[in-house]
Amino acid sequence: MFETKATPLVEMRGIVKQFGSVEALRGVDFHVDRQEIVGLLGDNGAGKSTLIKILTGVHTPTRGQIYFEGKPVTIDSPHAAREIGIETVYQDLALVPLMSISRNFWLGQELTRRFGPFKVLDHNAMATSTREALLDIGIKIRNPDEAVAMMSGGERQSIAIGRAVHFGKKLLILDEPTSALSVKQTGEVLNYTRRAKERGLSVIFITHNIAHVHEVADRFTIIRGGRKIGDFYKHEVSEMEVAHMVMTGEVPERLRLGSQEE
Amino acid sequence: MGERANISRRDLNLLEISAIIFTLLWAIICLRTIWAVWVRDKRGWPWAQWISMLTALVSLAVVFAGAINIQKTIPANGSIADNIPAAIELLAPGLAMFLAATAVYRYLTLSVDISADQSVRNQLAKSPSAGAIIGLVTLVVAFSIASPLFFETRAIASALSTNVTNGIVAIGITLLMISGEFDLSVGSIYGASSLIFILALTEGAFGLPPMHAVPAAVVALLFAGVLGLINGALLIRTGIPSFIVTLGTLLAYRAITLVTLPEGRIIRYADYRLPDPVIEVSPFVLIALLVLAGLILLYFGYRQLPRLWGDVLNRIRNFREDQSAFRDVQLVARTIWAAIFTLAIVGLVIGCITGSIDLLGRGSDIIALSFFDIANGRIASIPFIGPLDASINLRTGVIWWFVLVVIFQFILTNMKYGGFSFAVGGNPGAARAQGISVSRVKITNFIICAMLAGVAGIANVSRVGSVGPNLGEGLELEVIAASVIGGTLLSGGYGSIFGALLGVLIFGLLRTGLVLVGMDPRVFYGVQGIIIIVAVVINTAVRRVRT
Repeated sequence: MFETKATPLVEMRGIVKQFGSVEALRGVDFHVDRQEIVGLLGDNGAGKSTLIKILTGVHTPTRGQIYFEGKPVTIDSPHAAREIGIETVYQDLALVPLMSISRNFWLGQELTRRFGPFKVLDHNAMATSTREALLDIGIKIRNPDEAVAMMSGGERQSIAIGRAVHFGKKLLILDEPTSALSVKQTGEVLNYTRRAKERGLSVIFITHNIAHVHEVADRFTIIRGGRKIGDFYKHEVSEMEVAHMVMTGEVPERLRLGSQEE
Repeated sequence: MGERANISRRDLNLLEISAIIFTLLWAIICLRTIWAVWVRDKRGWPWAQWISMLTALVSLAVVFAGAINIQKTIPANGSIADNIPAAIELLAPGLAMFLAATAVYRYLTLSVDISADQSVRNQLAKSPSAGAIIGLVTLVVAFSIASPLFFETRAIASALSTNVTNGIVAIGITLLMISGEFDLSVGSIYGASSLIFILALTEGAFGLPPMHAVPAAVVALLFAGVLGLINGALLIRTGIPSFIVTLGTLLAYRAITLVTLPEGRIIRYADYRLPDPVIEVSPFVLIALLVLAGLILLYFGYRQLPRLWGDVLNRIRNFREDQSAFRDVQLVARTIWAAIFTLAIVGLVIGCITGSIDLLGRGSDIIALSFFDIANGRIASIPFIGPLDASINLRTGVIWWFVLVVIFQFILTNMKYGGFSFAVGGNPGAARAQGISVSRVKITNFIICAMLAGVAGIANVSRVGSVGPNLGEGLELEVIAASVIGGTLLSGGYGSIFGALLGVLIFGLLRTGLVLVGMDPRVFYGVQGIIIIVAVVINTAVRRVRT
């Protein structure tokens, strides 16, 4: 059954990361298939953020190899990660509060018009395309020229997600996107995450709380003490079991067999 | 005063024309608002709120002007009781207007349902320089009432000319503050680059022989740029806050002038008995430049004018269906705006053409222009501003200042680099995540800021012709204050260059006004301090709406 499946979008094999004498990751295998939402779970200090920072080029692994669309790649800078189509949405770092929605949306890759030897920003085009792009994944905004500071936390996350979808990214990494949000706003963000998947993106959803991600994730990867506890499809495990594994690292008997087969 | 009373005077100058247009528009808006309130049109409320707020401010200005006049008109020897009627007569109109306007404003804010988006606070929050515009208008009204000498080309021209250096430095500081840093060393950089410029002209700097003004200016600018680069590199390398880093370089760079000019020596260009540095150009080069300027203006007009007039025509055509608030006032305002724009472009193009013809008539003799005159000399006479007699001290530096403001404001709002500066100041993490190099933007802005201080130094030397060891001391705080008044946030990520221009103008006009009104100029510091605090309080209150 596994052979017929296409190569995963991202595969990380045997990742080891040492900070001096401390081993943050002790040989982790991790993969994300196409159009899959993976919940990356682990307690604080489990190593999940180190793993993601390796994937986004913030850290380089001590040992191990990353494959993107089947080809081995080295991701040595955040820029390199963006180049191959990995977009990360950090909780507080996604948007500039005092800039307008459309300027945020296009930040770093602004639309310009040539005006003699100069490139001048095309404000109108940016505003219209921002509105259209966000509407495309179901986000309604009042006015693209409005400052991001006027928006709620959920709206801000969704704009960052909309941006990743629009710019044709392949992998979207959400770092604790919902931990500071109300229940209603969390629901909205999960909704847009699902939309992003429908648009062909794969998503890694990092959290320490299973309740945040159980609704949308296809699969859970649980990390503890720098090791992977296992991969579990949603239909295989209950929310309770996942929460238990995150806390204790003990895999229930019936699941242990399944993961050995794999 | 006698000639003022002569109403049939023909030579209305630009200043008075703009004041008349402004007043007319204001009257139209007021009447329209009263009409809207009368017929219970809901869209009149936000306008009424605006008008009442501005009226309250202007009447405060009237009260202020009245208070100054009391001091002048009431003879000192009479008893207090004798003077009370006169004092009431001077203060009452302003006070009554103020109380009425404030009452209306309070009523509108508290009891009338105005949608949050339309409220004065939210509208103010949309533009960083809105507060500065209102402040400037209030100031001009107050001093115009208080002294007949204030609203005169002469006074305004002198206020502009004396603030060229502050204005140019404020541009750089604002850009830097928007990207989240600030530079206390600009005063020292300004002094040091002035020194290098005048040394390069007279004795030779860095072991080079004395040189012509253009290469000397380049040397001074490069030197300023290096000082800015040191600031930026220190900040990025060490990660120490810019306040501390530039406090250090403020003192360190000051040593350059103090050591080079021991015992308070002052270098004067005149002492060297050198002729003014002259730039010799063929008239054909000037003609080519004028033709180029004319073509650029025409292209600009070709791009913008059809859009402006098309908008006006559209509004006329769809007048009946137009649902937007105050369609009639908007139509009038847009027509006036389009007309002013057209006139300005036509006037400038005609100026270019007549200038070229004039130059053609001179034949092909080489024209010698003094570098000092080009950089910051007297503008002998410019059409439209009225007959400038020799006593009106308007400087060419003012033109360069305004040109730099326009250029940098354009970069800030319409080019990628400006956006990067905002992003770096507003949220460095987000900027980095979008692939913007935060340290590169910051270092570049430090260099730009320092080089603008160098430009200001060259402008100052061109005007004054001398450099002393303490030149530029205290400049940094005045300039940062002007930026803050103009709406720029000390914490970065928000602001405008245009606002910095207004901030410098507010201080400049305040200084001129206090002198003309006959107040002790030393009061200036006190008033300046109060204005800064009030401005920051208002800015913070307004900003709270946004965040």
